[in-house]
Amino acid sequence: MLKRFRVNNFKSLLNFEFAPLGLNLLVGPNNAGKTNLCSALRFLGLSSLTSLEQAVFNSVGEGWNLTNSHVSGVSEVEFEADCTLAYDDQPLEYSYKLKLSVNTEKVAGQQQIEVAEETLAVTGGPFQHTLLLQNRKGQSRLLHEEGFVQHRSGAPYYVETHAPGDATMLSRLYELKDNPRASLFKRYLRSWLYFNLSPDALRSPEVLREYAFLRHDGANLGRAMFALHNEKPRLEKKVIELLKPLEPKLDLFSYSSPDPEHVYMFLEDEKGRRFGMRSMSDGTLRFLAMAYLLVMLEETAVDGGLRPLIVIEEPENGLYVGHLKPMLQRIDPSGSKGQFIFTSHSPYFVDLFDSCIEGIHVIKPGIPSSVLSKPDPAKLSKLVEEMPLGELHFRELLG
Amino acid sequence: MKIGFSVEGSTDRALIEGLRERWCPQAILVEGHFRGTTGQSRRREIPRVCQELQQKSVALIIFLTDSNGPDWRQVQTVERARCQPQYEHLAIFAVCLRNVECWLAADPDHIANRFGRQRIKFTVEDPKGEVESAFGITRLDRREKEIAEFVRVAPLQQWLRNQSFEDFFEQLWSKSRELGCTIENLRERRPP
Repeated sequence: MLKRFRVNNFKSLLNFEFAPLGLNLLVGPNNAGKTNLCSALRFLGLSSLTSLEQAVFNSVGEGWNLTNSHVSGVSEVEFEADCTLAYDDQPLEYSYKLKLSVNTEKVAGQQQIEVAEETLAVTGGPFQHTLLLQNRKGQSRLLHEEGFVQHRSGAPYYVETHAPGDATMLSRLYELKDNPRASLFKRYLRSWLYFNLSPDALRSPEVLREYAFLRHDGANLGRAMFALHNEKPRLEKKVIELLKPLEPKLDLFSYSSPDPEHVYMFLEDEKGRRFGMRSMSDGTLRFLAMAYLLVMLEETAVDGGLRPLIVIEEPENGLYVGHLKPMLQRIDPSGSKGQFIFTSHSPYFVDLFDSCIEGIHVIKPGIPSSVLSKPDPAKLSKLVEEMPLGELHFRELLG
Repeated sequence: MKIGFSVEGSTDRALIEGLRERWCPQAILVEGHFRGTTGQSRRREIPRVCQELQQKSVALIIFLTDSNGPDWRQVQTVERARCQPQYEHLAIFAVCLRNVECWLAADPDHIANRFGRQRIKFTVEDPKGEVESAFGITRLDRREKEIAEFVRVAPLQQWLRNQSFEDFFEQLWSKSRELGCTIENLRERRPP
C-alpha cells in the first residue's frame, strides 16, 4: 500500500506531498492540480514499464511544460514513493526515489528527460534501509538479495551494471532470483492503474492485445468481458449482478467476434432480444467498466496478488447520483483489495466519504504550486451533523 | 399500499424486504434517499426523507438503524427527536440492539440449523461476523435475496426475546391496525 508520495517540480506540483489511505478523494476547483497529481502517479507507475518518453506521453499526453512554469533554472523533477508490501508474508517498507534531469532547451517542442538518480531502499526483516537498487546517471548497482540475507554479517554484495538514461533501472530489471524484493516493487508499480473512462472508447469493438484488460479510457472492454465470459463465467455473472440495478432488463451478455481484431458485445434480455453497446447509456457503460474492475480486483486479491493503486477520474460522469452509493460501497476502505483514489466534482459523490473523512484531500490552485490541505476530521464530523459533505465542499468549508 | 423506509445498509434493506414479503406482499417498498452513508448522515436527513416519502404517498415510513451498542432506547430517542411533528404519525423508529445481525441471530437454533453451524457461534454478544459468514456476504455480493428469504420464513416469535425487535414489532402491529390491515400476531405464539 502506498503510504507517501512526493513530487517536486512536475507541472503545478512543487514539493507536493500526498499520504493516501485505502480510499481517497481528491477535490478542488478546476485547474487546482488534481489531474496533475494523478498524472504524476501515473507517470511513476508507467516509468517502471516503458521508456521515460513513452511514460510522459502516456501520462501527460505531451512532452512540453513538464516542469513547473513558475520556477526557472530548476531542471530536475523528483518523485518519491514510500509503501508497504508483503514479501513471504513479511511486511517490508519500501522507499523509492527517482530524480530526472530535464533539458529545458526544448527539442522539437519536447523537453528531453533522463534519469539523474534512482534509488530503491527497503526496511524490514534483515534489511535496515538497505539499498536494493541504485542508479546514478547510468552507473547502477543491484543488491544480491539472497546473498545478503544469508551472509548478514558481511558487507552487502552489489552487482555493478549500466542503465540506460532514457529509462529507469527498475524498468530494465528482470525477474531474477537474485533480486526478488526489488522485482516485487517493480510489479507493484506496474500494477498501478489510471482510468478516465470515455464512452466512445468503452463502446469500441477494437481488440487491444497489448492491454491485459482495460486501457485508461476504457477501450478493450468488449474483449475483456469476452475473455471473462470464456475463461471465468462466474465472474462475468458477478459483473451482471452488479449492473442489474442500472439495467434491469439485462439477462446476459453475448458476443460476436467476426475477426480476431474485433469483439462486439451485446446486452440480451430474458426474451433473447439483443442490444448493442450503442444502446447502453454513457453512465451505464462507465458503471459496467467499474463493476468489471471491482470484480477483477476481488479475484486478484483472492489469488493473493498485489493490491494495486487505482486512480479513477470523475466516476460520477453520466451516472445517476443514486447509483454512486452502491458503487462506492463495494469498495473496502481499508484498501484490502486495492487502494483507490478518485477525483470528483460531484457533491453527491463527496457526500459518500462521510465514513472516511480522513481520505478526503482538498487541492487548491496556487502560484507557484498547487496546495494540498487536509480537512480537520473532528471539525467536519460536527459540521456533517448539519449538512452533507458535498454541501460543505460547495461552500468551501472542507479545508 | 406504499411503505417507505430508510436504512443504511443492504442487510437492513433485505430485512425490510423479507418482512414485506411475509406480512404485506401486496405492498410496494419505497426507499427514502439520504446524502451520505453513515448513521449520522441518515439521522441528519430524517426530515428530508419524511418530506420525500410523504410526497411519494407512502402510508408509513420505517426508519431502521443499528444502535452499535447496548443502549438502543437512547438511539431511538435521538432518532425520534429529529422527526418533525407533521410526520410523526407516519414514522416508525426501529433500532436494533447493536446491529441487525443480532435480530437475524435472535433464534440461534434456527440460524445454526439453517446454515449447519454451531449454535454457540450465534449466541455471542455481537454475532455480526458469524452471520455475514453464514450468508456468504462480501462487499460485492450482499446476499439481499437470501437474507430476505431467511426473514420471510424465520420463526419470528422467537425474535421477540430481543427487546429491540419486540419494540419494532409492537410499533408495526399498532400501525397495521391503524391502517386497517393485520400482520401476523407473533405474541399469540410468544415464547415463554
